[in-house]
Amino acid sequence: MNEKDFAEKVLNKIENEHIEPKPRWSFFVVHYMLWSAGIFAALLLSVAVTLIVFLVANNEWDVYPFLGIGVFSFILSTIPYIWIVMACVFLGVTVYNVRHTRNGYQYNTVPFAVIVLGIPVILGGVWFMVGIGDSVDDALAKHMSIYRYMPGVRHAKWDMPESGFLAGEIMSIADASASFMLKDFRGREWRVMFGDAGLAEGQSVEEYMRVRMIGRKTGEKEFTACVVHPWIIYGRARQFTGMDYGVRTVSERERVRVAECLSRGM
Amino acid sequence: MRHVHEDICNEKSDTDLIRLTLQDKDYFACVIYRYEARLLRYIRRITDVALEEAEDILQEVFIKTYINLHDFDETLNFSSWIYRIARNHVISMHRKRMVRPEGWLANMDDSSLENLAGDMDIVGEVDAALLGEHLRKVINCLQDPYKEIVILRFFEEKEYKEISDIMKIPMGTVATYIRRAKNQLHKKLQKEHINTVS
Repeated sequence: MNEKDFAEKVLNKIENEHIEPKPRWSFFVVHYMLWSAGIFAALLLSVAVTLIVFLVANNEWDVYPFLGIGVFSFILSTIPYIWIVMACVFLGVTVYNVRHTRNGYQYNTVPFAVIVLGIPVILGGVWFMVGIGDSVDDALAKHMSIYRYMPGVRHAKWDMPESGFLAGEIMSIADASASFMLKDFRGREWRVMFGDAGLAEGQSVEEYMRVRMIGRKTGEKEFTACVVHPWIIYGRARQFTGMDYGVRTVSERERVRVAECLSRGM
Repeated sequence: MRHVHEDICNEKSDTDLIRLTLQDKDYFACVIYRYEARLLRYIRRITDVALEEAEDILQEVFIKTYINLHDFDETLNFSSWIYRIARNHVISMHRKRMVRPEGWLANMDDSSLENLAGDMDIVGEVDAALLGEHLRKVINCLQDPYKEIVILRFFEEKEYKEISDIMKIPMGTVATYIRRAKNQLHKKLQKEHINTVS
């Protein structure tokens, strides 16, 4: 078939079957949907990164000496598995979407890695600094009970008063040197006795502060704390406007004091 | 043949022709004149279909090109874009048939084989016909994407950027694939007792 015949055949088919070019907007819609989905997935990736940093930074290292477990077991128990999995999923979705945009295939590996991983990681760091990690972790724990029990999430570990672990928010302080009322993450109210011995060195308690405690359950709704630590050390929401609790190390004297306190309940 | 004369086609760039086609579809004939032979050859190189079937595929490729004219990004080379459409169409056609695309030995012409042999620094006194025979054989033994890269680079004579746009892979990956394809060809040729300079 010569060129003219072939061209005629193609054009006749176009005419006879009323074939028209697809409108320009339909391609724009696909293009922008891919970019929007990619950017949205990258934002979710940055949130997942924030949660990873937040949970690793607040991995209970400050109470490790009181837990009585090996370093390896401790590290394994504090890895934020759920957020690592979520980060991988969001990374995959971001990569897929950006690669399928009009020019996505042109990026070489390094600049591509910078775009789809570097930016969300930097953004995740910023979110962590301004307390987004704390806010998301707290909101999920309050509104999604299943979240509290996911591997690597801290809430379930501190919801075992029978085993001596309790956490929550201080509602009111009855006696600044002896007791306060606490609402745990499941909404149950507790009267917490601590006295001078319950506070970690240099620590004070105040209303609306979230705390973790190691001690013993001494009544139906009563808990005696041997040690009281803030719930968040790093990346607390409103950290730039509120009090910064700072890092604490456990001194030998405190270790002995807590051991004595705990042994009294045995 | 309609009102578009071939001389008008020759004066216009690809991009001009696309703009004109969107106003008057008869200008699409110019695009067809310009790419029919090249694309037919390419389709026959990456498939094992007979001429008639290759022409049917080509017709579908042109129809697809016409339907997607508004998707053409003018920052790209039109040639790369229409080759990409042809390639994707062949791949999806083979997917439907559940078979892998196979190149057809007869479509590897001697001048392209000489081009490849020159690039690979094949040394010594090798009979041209025999060398061509060996090259056809080893190219057909290459796996995807190396075979496809060899066809685009040495038979279609595409630049790295064009191959990147046709296959939708980064330029760095094109370079890597070409290097690996050549390494595989060197090894296979050496097994055929043909000396090459690596």
